[in-house]
Amino acid sequence: MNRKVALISITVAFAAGFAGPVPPFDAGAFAQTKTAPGITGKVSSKEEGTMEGVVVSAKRQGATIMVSVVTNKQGEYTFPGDRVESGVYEITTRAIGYVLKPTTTTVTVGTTDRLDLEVTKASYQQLALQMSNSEWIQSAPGTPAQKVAMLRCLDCHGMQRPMFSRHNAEHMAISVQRMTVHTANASPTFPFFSQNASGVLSNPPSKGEADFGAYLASINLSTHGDKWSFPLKPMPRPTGKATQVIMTTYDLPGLSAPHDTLLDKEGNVWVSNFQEQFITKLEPKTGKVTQYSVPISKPGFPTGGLMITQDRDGNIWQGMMGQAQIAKLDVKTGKVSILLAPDWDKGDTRFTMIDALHSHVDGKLWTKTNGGPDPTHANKLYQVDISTGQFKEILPPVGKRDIAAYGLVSDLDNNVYGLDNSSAQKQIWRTDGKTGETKYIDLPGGGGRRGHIDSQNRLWFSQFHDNRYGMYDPKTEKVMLWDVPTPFAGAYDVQYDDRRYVWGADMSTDLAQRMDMETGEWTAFLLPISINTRHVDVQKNPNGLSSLWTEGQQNGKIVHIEPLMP
Amino acid sequence: MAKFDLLSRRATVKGIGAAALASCGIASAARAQVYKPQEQMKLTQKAAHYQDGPMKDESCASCPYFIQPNACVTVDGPVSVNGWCPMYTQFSPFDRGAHCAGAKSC
Repeated sequence: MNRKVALISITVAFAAGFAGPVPPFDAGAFAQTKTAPGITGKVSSKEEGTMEGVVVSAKRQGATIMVSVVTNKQGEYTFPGDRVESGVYEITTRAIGYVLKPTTTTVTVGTTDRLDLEVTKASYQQLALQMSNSEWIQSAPGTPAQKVAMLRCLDCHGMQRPMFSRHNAEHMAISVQRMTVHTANASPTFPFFSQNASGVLSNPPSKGEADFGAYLASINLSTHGDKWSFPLKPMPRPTGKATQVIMTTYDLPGLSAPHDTLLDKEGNVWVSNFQEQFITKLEPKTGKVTQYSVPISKPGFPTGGLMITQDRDGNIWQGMMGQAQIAKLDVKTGKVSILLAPDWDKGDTRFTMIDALHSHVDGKLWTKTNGGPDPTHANKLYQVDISTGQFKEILPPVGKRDIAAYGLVSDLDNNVYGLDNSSAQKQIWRTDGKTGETKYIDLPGGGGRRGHIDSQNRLWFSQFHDNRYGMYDPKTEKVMLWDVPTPFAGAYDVQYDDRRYVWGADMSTDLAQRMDMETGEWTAFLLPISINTRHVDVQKNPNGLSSLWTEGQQNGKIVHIEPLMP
Repeated sequence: MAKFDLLSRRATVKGIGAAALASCGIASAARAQVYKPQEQMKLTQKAAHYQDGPMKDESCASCPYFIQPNACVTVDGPVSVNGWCPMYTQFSPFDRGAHCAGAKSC
C-alpha cells in the first residue's frame, strides 16, 4: 500500500516505511540493458542460500574508482559491461553479519565473467566492526534524547570510538567535556582545539557532561569485557527496488575529508576539504583529482573549508573556516584569491557557510561568521559584493536574537534562508536581499540543518534532531514535514529533483534515501562504503531518473548513486 | 573468548597511504612517527588530565599521538612514555570512523 502525502499547513506527514511494498519488477532488470554483463553471479551463504540485498563491489587493482551493484531477489548481481574494463578486479561485499574471503577476478572486455560468491558468517568481533553508526545507536539502550545526543559524536568520528572504549564514567565525562572544545572540523587526524580549550577543561565537567559520560560508560566495553551489554542489532538488507542501483565510489587522495560535493554543468565534481586548505576537483570519467591550494592566513589556526558553492560564471567559492577566509577559484585561470572576514584576525572568527549560487541577481553572495571578539554578537550574516569584496553586515531585527544558523540557502531572487540547527530554537529564517529584513518561520521540532531551493523557489531542508525532511513554500507560507523512516538517522541534507523525487542522506545510516513525491514511497539505497554525509547534490535528468552525489566525510570518498528503476 | 584486540586485525600502514587504511575501516595503532600531524594548538597537561604513570595496561608508549621520545600531538610539554591521559586510544588517527563496510570485508 502506498501512502499519499497529505497537504495541509504545517503538518507532519508519516510516509511509508523504507522496506515497504514496491510494485512488481523484473528481477532480471539488468538483462534488459543494452550492454552485455561484465561480471555476473550469485551470492549465497550456508545460512540463507541465495541472498538478496548484498552490495557487491568491484575495483580494478590500482584504480581509484569502485563500482557496486546489489543482488536481487534471486541473489543475482550484474556489473554492466560498460562499467568495467579489462583487468584484475578485487571483489568485496557488504552484507552485515557475513564476510567474503579475499576475492579477485579477471575481466576481459567483451566477455562475461561468471563469479559466484559464497559469504560466511561473521564472528562477533567482525560483526561489531561492521556495524554502521546508526546500527550502534539503534542497538544501544537509552532514551531518545540520549540516542540523539550520540549523533553529535559523528561530527568528528564514528561510533566505534565511544563504543569500543573502556573508559569508566569519570574518564568518559572528561572525554565528553573535551569534545566540546574541539573545533567543528576536528577529527582524530586533525584534533584541532578551540582557542579557549585549556581554560574550559580546567573546570570539572558539567552535570550534563557527567551524565552523558555515565551513560556512554554504561554501554561501552568498560564493564563487560569483550562483549557489549546489549545485543548488536543490524538493520535488514535492502530488498526490491533498493537493489536496483549502480553506485560508483571515487577515492580522493591523501587525508581528504570531503564536506560538500557539488556537480557542475560540465560534469565535474567540486569538493570542499573539511580539514586541509584545498579546493578539490574530481573528474568522474577518469577519476582524476586536482587540488587547488588555498594559502594560510592564520598560522596555527584550524585549516579547511566547509561549504562550496558556484556562481553563474562557474567560479568556485569556499568558506575556509578557522582561517576566516573566503577562497575563490577562477575556473578559467586556475588561480585562487582570498577575501578575509571582517575581524578575521580577532579571536576565533571563522566562516562556515557561503552561498554564491544566485549572486548573478545582484552581484552579492551570502556568508556568515561565528566567533569573533564579541561573544554577545558571535553570529554575523553578511552580503558580500563580489566585484568590490565589501562585506555588509545584515543585523537581526531589533530585539531579536542573533541571526544564528548553520545552513544558508539562497533562493532564486538571492534572498537567503538560515537554517538554525539548534533544537531549542524551532525556527528557520529568511532575509530579504534588497531590504535586509528578516522573517522568522516557526517549525515543529528543531529548526533545520541544510537544504536546497527547488525550481519553484521552495526551500527543502533537513531537521537533524527530529530526523525529518521539510519543505517551506514562501508563496503559501506552508511547511510540510516527513519523518525519515530509519530512526535516529540524523537527517543532514535534502534536495528535490524538480520532477518527482526527493533525495537525502545523513551522518549515520550509510543510506541514500529517495522519496517518491507521487506515491509517498521511500527507497533506501545501502551504500558500499561508510558515509557520513554533510551535503547532497542531485544530478537532475529531464529525460530519465535523477541520481545523487554525496561524500564520505570521514573516509575521503565521493559516491554517485544511480537508481535503475522508478 | 579471546581478548578483543583491535591491534590483532590484519592491517598495513603505508605512511600517508594509511588514508586507504582508514577507508576500509581497519583500525591500527599507527605510531606518531608515521602519523605526521600539522602544527596545532595543544592542551595544557592539567586540561588534558595527563598523569605521569600508566592507566592499567595503557600508556603513552602505545598511543598513536605520542611523539618519541617525550612529546605529544595534543598535550603540551614533555610527556613520559609511561604517562597517560584520557585521550589515549588504540585507534589510528587515520581511522576517522569509516567502519568496515564493503570496501574491505572484515
